[in-house]
Order: sequence, then C-alpha cells, then structure tokens
Amino acid sequence: MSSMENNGPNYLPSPQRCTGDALIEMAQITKTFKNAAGEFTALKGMTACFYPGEFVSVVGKSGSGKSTLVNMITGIDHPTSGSVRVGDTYVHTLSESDMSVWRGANLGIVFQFFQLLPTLSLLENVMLPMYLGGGFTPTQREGRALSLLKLVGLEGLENKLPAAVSGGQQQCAAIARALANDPPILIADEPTGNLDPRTAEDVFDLFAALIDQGKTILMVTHDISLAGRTTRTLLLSDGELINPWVASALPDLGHSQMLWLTHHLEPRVIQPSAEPPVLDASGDWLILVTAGRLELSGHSGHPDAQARRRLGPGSFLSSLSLQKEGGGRSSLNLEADEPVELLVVEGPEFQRWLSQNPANRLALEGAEWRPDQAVLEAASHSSSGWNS
Amino acid sequence: MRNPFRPNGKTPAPQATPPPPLNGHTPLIQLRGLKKIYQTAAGEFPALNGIDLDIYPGEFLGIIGKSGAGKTTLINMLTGVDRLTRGEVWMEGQPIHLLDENKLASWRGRNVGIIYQSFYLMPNLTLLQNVTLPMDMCGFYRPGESEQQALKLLQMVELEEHAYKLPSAISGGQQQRVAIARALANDPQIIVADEPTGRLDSATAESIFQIFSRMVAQGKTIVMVTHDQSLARRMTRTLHLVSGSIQGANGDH
Repeated sequence: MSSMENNGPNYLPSPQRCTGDALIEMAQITKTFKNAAGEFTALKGMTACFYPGEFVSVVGKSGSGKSTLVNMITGIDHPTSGSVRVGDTYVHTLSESDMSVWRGANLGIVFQFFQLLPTLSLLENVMLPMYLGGGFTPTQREGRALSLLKLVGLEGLENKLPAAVSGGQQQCAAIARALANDPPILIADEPTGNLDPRTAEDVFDLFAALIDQGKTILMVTHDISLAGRTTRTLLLSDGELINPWVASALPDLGHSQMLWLTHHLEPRVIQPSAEPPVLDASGDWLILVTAGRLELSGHSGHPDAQARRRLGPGSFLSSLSLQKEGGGRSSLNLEADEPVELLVVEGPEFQRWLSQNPANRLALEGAEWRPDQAVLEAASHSSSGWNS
Repeated sequence: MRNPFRPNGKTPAPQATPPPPLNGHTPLIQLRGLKKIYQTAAGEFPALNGIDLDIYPGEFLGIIGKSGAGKTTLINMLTGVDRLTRGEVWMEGQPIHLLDENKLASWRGRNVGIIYQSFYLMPNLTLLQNVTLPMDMCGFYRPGESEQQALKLLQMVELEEHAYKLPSAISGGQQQRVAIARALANDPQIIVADEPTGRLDSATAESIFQIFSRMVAQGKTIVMVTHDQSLARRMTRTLHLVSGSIQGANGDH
C-alpha cells in the first residue's frame, strides 16, 4: 500500500518542534492531574508532530499517557501547559462551545466501547453528528449515512438497533458515525480493544482503506502487531515519548530502560572529511545510527570481523560485542562517505545503565550487531516500527 | 366488487383490535401473553413465560426480581428494542408488535424515553449537544427551538450551568441526569428505566429517584427496573418477576 511506506527518518528523533506541514502539532504538553491522593503528571513536556496522510499508532502500558495524549488533541482534556495546533486552530484557545463545533467538523472520534446510542438504529446513530452542522442538508443526510454504512460493510443492517448486531459491527457503525461530517482526522482510542482478533483485523483494514482515501489517523492500541502495520508508532512510557530508534533497535528492553536511553543518548554527526573516530573495545559505549552509513574497518581477533562492514540507520553497536569478538584489544575505525548521524552513550553512564538491570546486557546481546547482520542493507530496517 | 375507497381494489387486512383492559381502567400500555424464548447452545431458554400486564397513565411501576428473572427482557419488549417470540404489545390502541423496524424506531423515538444503567453519553459531545442532537434528528422541534428545549431540560435536572461541558467533566450522577434530560427530549408519554441508579452511590441514587418522582407528579408514566427494595416500596406499584413470570396477582399493592 503506497501510503503506508515508512517515512520515519524525516521526523526523528523526537522533535523539538514540528515542520510547517505538520497537520497536528503538540508542543511541550504537560498534563498534571490532581486528586485526593496528590498529583499525577500524565504527560511530561511532550512534543509530537503528525503529518497529513499518516497512520500513527500510539502504544505503551496502561497509565503511560496514551489516552491523555489523544484527549489533548480532541480537546476532551486540557493541558496544564503547552499548546496543541490542529490545522490552523490552536485547540485550547477555543471556548467550550466553539471547541465542540470545531471538533464536530474536524475530528472523527472512535471509542473502545463504541458508544452508540442503544435506542437509535445504526442509520440514526450515523446521522446524529450531521446535526452538528456538518454542511449536509436534511435530505442529503440519510443518503450519506447509508453510503457510509455501506463503506463499513453494514449495508442492509441500517435499521437494526446496536443490540441486534455484533460488537465488530457496532464498532464499524461507530467508525461510520465518526466519518459523518467527513473530518480530515480520525482519532481512535483502543478501537479494537473490545473485539476478537478477526474482527479487529476487519476494523484495521477499514482504517487502512481510509488512509488510502487521504485521512489522517491516530490510533491508541495495545495490539503490537496492529501497531507494527501503521506508518509509524509512538511508544509512551511514564508520560514521555521513547525515542523510536531505541524502541526499534532494542525491542527487548523494558520501557523504563528505553526511556533512560532516550534521555541519555546524545546526538553526534560524523563528517566525511573529518579524521575517522576509533571505537575501542576497552571503552564503554553504545552507538545507534540514525542517518547515513558508517563503514567500519577494524582490528579484531575475530576472523569474521576483519572485513569492512556497514552500519545503516537503525543499526547499533556496543563495546560489549567488540569485547566478545576480540577481547579488550580490538578496535574499529569509523569512516563516513556522507554525514552520518548517531546517537551515543558512553563511559561511566553506559556502565551505570548496564548495571542498572541485568536484563539490559541480555537485551543488548540478544539484538546486538553481528557481522552478517551488519552488512544487511540498512534500508531494510524499519526505523520506527516494531517490525524490524 | 371493487372498493371505491381503495383504488387497487384490495380488501384491507383484518384490523387487529386491542384486548379488553384487565380491570376496567383505561391502560396506556397492554401486554398480553408475552413470551420470549432465546435459542442458546444449551437449548431453548424461556426468558418470559407469558406476561399479561396493563400499565396505567401516571403510574410509577417498579419491576424487581433476581438476575435472570426476565426484568430487562420485559423492558426490552416494552420499548421494542428486542422482538417478542409470542404475544402482543399495545399502546393506546396501536399494535406495537406489528410494526416493522422502521415504524418501530419512529414510534419509539416519539413515545418512549429510555434510560439505562450506563449513561451512553457521547464523550465528544457537550451535554447540550447530547440532549439536542436526538431531538434534531427526530425533527420534533425546529432548529433553534431544540436547543432552547434542551437547555430547559438541563435546567430541570439542575445542570444548565454545565451545558457546554463534556461528559468527562461531570460526575456519574450528573451524567445520568443528562441521560434523563435526553430521554425526556421528545416529551414521551412513558419513561422506561433499566436500573438507572445501579451504578450510583445511595445519595446520588436518591436524587435521581426524586427526579423520577417529580416527573410522575407531572403526569409521566414510568416503568423502572431496580434491585433496590427500599426504592421499590416508594413506587405506585411493584411487579415481582420470578423465572419470567409475574408473581402474585398482577402485582397490585
């Protein structure tokens, strides 16, 4: 599917600000909830950009801030600080009543529990949002609702009440309702969370078809396999975005460990003209390539490691593997024919991370660069999905 | 011979006539021989075993019984949300059980207000929109009028100051009051409520009950399923359902 190509590197790593063509821009959003038990910060200065035609999945454990993130965009909840722009509109500058009108015209929202009105037929449920003033005349409304129900595969069931159809069919009707006013953006919070896997697949296919028709979709999900099939995935942990390069390269790490790396990896650029840096097995370091290709030529005891090798976007290498191959004496020269962008953590910080959790070392070794893997064309790597 | 009043010459279908009242008063709704049998993997499950019941205008009728006794099934027959297996439902001389889905939907929209244990408010619509949109769709009011009417209803349930808030910004008890306002939108003759206080604490449940009592005082007819015996005692009449049948003689107090 042409629109589902992975465009990750253009947007990554986590941006400080969005480029002008972003359809949705969340800038430095913090959200703190106060209750009797004290304060809970659900989002911690989050910046995220969504571009037209993207199908973005939002994943993370319960309480990581997924629903809060989408509630900021829909205006269902207000940020403590920061701003959200959707198209030309700064959402949280609108009054409650203006916001509801804006929301009705611009966002289609799909919920986990469908939220169909039980006393209205599927047709009536789909027609309902058109009375918000979506620009359809009373005579157009029924025809449009029928064609939307046909689009979601519910032709012939339009006069049924929600209770008379299956959960999957109810969700399809809810999607048809979300499309009632032809909004450019669909926001779905766990749309398949209450459906069996086969029905979930149908709903996902429907979303993919809508992407092909030019919609932009944000989908909160627990389903990692569905997330892997979207344009890109935002992984949240503890109210922050995990660097997608980290999530992709080290999928076995715990989310809090990924978040630590997100905080501590520093960007570096190696210029082709510069003196090539040398990585020493006796040091402590982890490098993760995010753009360009590194040529590695080395002196290591391991026979496989004598050849020249390449690291492309999404590939990483740490001192652990070099030590394993050649003992403490081996080293590698890094050469670049083009500017190569890296994320690096080194020295005592890397040591500290390794000792934080024994699983970290295992996760590194489990996914670590191997000679045969490193020569794979880097382009085949997914930079931001789960399916690398 | 060709019937001059029916151009196609067909004779009309025999007119069904409503059954006589059970005890002389003129009922609003009549249920006769109501049976509902569900087909399950384990065989047939009779949820209702022949219900005969008249519901009178201005009644506050409680339906009590254990889980599985058929309370919700009975309610769903009354609202036409579910189809009966056998029997008849009449409202003011009209055979509801003979309506097709389309006609049933419009009958329901104009005559019955339905309130559930879950509030079914749309999370992305303001309270006002949640009440107004179903009114606009039924075409009962002119645009503009419907919003005025919805504001009045929100005022009745003491939520007019929150009209432009989203459901997530108010409490569960307040959400149920919005659902009540929505159920009243088209000024239905009968309100059917299935455990409307089931998810609310007792103080909030009491305030909801008082709203219902006020509506009855204003002439509405209410049928309410409840688990709460103390609430049931404060209604006009209580039906006790056991295994799909009404226990006692038509449930009169």
